[in-house]
Amino acid sequence: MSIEDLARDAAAELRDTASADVDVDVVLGWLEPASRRRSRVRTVGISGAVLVLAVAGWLGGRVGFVAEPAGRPMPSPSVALYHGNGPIDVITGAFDPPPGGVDNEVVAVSTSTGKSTQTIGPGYIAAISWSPDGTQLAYIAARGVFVLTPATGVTRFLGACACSKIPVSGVAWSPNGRYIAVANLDQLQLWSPDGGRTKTIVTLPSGYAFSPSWSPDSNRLVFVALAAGQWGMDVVNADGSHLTTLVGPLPSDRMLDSPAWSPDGSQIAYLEGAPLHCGSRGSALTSGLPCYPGFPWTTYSVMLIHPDGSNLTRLHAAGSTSAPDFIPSLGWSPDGTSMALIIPGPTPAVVLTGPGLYVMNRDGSEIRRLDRNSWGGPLAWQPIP
Amino acid sequence: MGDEALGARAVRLGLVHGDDGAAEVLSTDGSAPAAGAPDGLREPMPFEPFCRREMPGLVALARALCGSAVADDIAQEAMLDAYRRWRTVSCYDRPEAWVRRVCAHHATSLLRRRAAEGRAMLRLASRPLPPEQLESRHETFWIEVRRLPRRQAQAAALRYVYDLSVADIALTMGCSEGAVKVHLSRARGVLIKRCGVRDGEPS
Repeated sequence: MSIEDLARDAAAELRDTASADVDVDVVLGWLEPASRRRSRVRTVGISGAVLVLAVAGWLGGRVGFVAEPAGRPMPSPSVALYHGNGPIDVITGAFDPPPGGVDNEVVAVSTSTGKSTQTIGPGYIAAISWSPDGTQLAYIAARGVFVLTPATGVTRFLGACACSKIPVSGVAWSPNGRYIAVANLDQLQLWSPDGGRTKTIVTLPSGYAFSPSWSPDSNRLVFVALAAGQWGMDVVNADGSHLTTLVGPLPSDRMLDSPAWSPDGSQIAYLEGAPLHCGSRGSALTSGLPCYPGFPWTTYSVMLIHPDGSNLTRLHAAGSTSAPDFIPSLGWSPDGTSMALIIPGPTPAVVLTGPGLYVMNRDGSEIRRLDRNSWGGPLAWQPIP
Repeated sequence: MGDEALGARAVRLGLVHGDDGAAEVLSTDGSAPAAGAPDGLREPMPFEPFCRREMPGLVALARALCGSAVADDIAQEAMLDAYRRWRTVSCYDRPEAWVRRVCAHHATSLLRRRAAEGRAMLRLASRPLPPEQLESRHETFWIEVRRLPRRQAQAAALRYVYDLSVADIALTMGCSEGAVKVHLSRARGVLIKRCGVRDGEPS
């Protein structure tokens, strides 16, 4: 057999399998909303809430502006969220912004008044975390890890990392202020807030370690471990010792994300996702929510577990999505009384539908929607400066 | 034409992506780009039939260049780029060349592949069925194609997946026919050695 014969046969098989696998109707159904999400300029309407904006520079260090008077602390309590279109658009947007469009940005949202403004971006922002005093915001952007001081608009570049290239990353400022945990592909690293990497505390060969969250005493971290296609949640001491599995590995059709250690240290909240099968008439078989047949739907539940692995409870089913690039997120309020969620939308039983930023009590009650335009991504509730 | 004007022209023609060079300005003298240049007279074609015709080929091209796990994402991303610029792209003489080139660039871009890989990982839970596995010797062939230098891999994939002529590959890749011949010749030599097949004309 010649190389041409082999190539011809290999190409024929490739074309045949591709033709069999591609559902162009699904692709066409995906294109319009995906395009709209990328080019949409968002306006945020929050009844009875106040927004703060501090625009820092775009990734290269260009300094932007502070929408609120410089030097004044942000109104509080506020929720900072990655207010983007999801990683697919984040990464594309960082390099291919639509003319005049805004691809994604971080906004600070106060729960007491009603405006929102851009804090960072537009651009690729993969993760955010407040410093314990609420004066600085660490984030992962296109070149690596940055620290923004919203009151001044000054941005510092801490260092480059591969974590900026994929959506499965994460950054978490330790409550004692000494470290910034950075999820860097298969590694969980501790960086100094002053710059420079301190050490790698976890390495998962052929896997991803991401979405870290600190215990309130800064002695331990919880993070998502994704290896061999199975999701789990591990806990490790800050010195890298005592790596233990808290949850999982889950069955291969389930996922989890966004673990968040409660400020009182008693619980770890996270989101668990399970596949939601879409009926032929375009509604989910179990919930009746509208969906696109053939799309990878996921329904999310808010879960709570004690740090020792006991008392695993399902708070409630949070919602479902047909958006392939939708990354849900969850975070605690600094006082531990509430949780914020970026989810596709609660179940019909909770009445509210649609994607957005939600806030609820820690027992799941009194859920309310702050923002309708969040399409997934990390959030971080700002400690009161 | 100065660089700035040339860049503006390229942006206007929808040929600059601004990422890792996914679509480059094809001519340095400011003349109409070689692939997909609008002639100003052509009637725009509807997007849907274009998508139906090209999508399977894009997936095949992406699978050839970066494997099954992320190929669908890469192909969809290329088609999304075409969709968003359709008013311009549809007027090109060869819009399929434009979208194939974008797809080939995405598939060989480490950044794009990382991103697609991350998304694929995140969706593993809900992926209904894994893509069908190719016959092992064919899979080995495409693995070796992926190991080639970037431009050689692109040229080889366009040649084999679409059975394009040298002239069409040059048009799609935005380079000279001579450059394509060099890429294909070098790729062929490497593939013969690595795949353990004889050097000869098709039987």
